[in-house]
Order: sequence, then structure tokens, then C-alpha cells
Amino acid sequence: MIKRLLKNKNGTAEVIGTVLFLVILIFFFSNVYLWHDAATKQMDDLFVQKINSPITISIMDNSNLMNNYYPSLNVTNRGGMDATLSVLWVDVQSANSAISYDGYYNLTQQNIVVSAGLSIQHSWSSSETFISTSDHHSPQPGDNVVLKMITTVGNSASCSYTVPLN
Amino acid sequence: MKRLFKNKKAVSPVIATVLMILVTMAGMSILFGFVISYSDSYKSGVGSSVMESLVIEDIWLSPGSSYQNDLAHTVQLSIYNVGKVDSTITSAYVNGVALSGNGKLNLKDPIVIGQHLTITLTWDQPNSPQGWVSGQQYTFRISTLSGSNFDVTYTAP
Repeated sequence: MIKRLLKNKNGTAEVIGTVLFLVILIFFFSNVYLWHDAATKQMDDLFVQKINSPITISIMDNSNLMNNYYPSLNVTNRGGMDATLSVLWVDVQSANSAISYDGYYNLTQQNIVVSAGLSIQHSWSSSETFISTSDHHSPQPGDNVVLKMITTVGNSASCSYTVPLN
Repeated sequence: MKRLFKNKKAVSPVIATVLMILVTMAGMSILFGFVISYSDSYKSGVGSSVMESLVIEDIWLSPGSSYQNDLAHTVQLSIYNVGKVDSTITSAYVNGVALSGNGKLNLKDPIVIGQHLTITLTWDQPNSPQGWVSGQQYTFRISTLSGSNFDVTYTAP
């Protein structure tokens, strides 16, 4: 039975033709598929990194706010992977006048890495390059200051404080 | 040798085979070119949305000034590209309502990977004199040329 089947050449061309057609089709579309697969993998890696490196920030020296409008920040990495700081946003809502402003310190060049599960102290001041879209000044007593830290993978954490009145 | 050239037997099958190979080659080249151009346009177009990731890192609302009757409220969106491809923002919305550019913005400029971009948009909200209600949550959305949307919820100061 099998011998006869193998000896029978009828329909061989059709089978070979179909197989070749499928091979060519797979060759063409594997291009898009493989690219899509690689792209998805890259983004999956990014999201894994993002999920595993959440941060929190808090003011370190609450008691010293009276004399220090630029309090040090405690940045904690609560994940299992290192986090690299990218930007510190400072939004100042003025209490007394309309002089509110926002801007940021670009930390990318400083390459500040917060290791997994650890905390670092980050100091910021007016002496650093502050990039603002409008006129800015030092936070004044009564101003509400919102600080927002962004990491290179897009995680963010914020905290706020009010500059005490003298 | 002379006899070989004079022999016309099987000439037409040879020509037929050559012609068939030529036609097949031409057809496959056209198909190959089409597939390559299709996959390239897919990779740089809609397909690249897989690799896009934008973060709206800061929102700054400014009320319109009654001085010179400039009552247009402005929204400053600071965007950070954390994705794997450059992204071009085509539109921005607040609670589903489109924000419009106020001349300072060129939405066609792409945000390069790892770069920040601040765009200023106009928020036409005639029902509110300030433009927004303090303490109310607003959902901001930015859309890219590849068709990705990125949302952030923001509480107005």
C-alpha cells in the first residue's frame, strides 16, 4: 500500500508547487513578524524595568524649612531594579502674588542611580541650572512648592511643602 | 558542432522554459519589492506605535489675562519620550476636548528618544472665567502620528 503510494507520481507537482508557495509566503511575512516580535520584546523589557523600579520622594529636613527653601530630598527606590533619575520638576504656586512658575533641573547628565531597595539624598538649589519657561525666583514664604521626580524609564514621584512664614 | 546548431529540435521547449523563468523572476521581483516597501512603511508608520512610550511629566495651567482682552487660557504640557522611537505629537485633548496650538507650537517636530519637549496649547473654556475649576480632575491625552494615545489625570490647583 505504502510502496504503491510512494511510486505513484500523480499530483507531485501540485504538492511541490504548494510547498514552494507557502515557503515564499512565509519568507515575505516573517520579515514583518520578526520585526514586530523584536519590537514587542524591547518594549516588554522597558515595561519590566519600569514596573520594577518605582520611586518615592520625601523632604528630608522638615524642621529646617524656615531657613532653607531648597530642602534636601530623600529618593527611595522601592523596586528590584536600579532607577536612574532624569528630571526634577519644581512647580511653585505663589500664595501672595501671581508670580507662580514652573521649571525643571535636568539630572540626566549627572547620572544619578538609585540602587534597588536603597535611598539616596538629593540636594537641589538655585545654583544649579534651572530651566523655566517663565521668570522665576526663589520660593518665598507661604509659597506652595510641588516637587516631582521623573526617572529615565518614566516613573514619577512627587511631594510638596509650603515654605513657612517668617 | 555545426550539426548541433542546425538541429531545431527542442528549441521551443528551451525558449518556453527561459521565458517562464523570466516571467517568474519578474513577478517575484515585483512581489518582493511590494512586500519590502509594505513592511518598511508598516515599521515606520503604524507598526512603530508598539515602540512608543511618552510620559506627560508636568502640566502647567495659566489663566488668560484680562489685559488686552487676551482671555485664552493656556496649558503647558511637558512631555518626555521614554520609548524606543521618535514620536510626533499630532493632537492633545483635555476631557475629550481638543486643545489648539497657539502659534508657539509646531506639532510636526518629533520628540527624539530620551528628550523632553514642552508644548503650549490654548484651552478654550468659555464657561469658566479661570479656565478650570480648582480641585477638579482633568484627563489630558496626547495622540501621536502613529496612533498611540497617552493619558494622565491631573488635579487643577
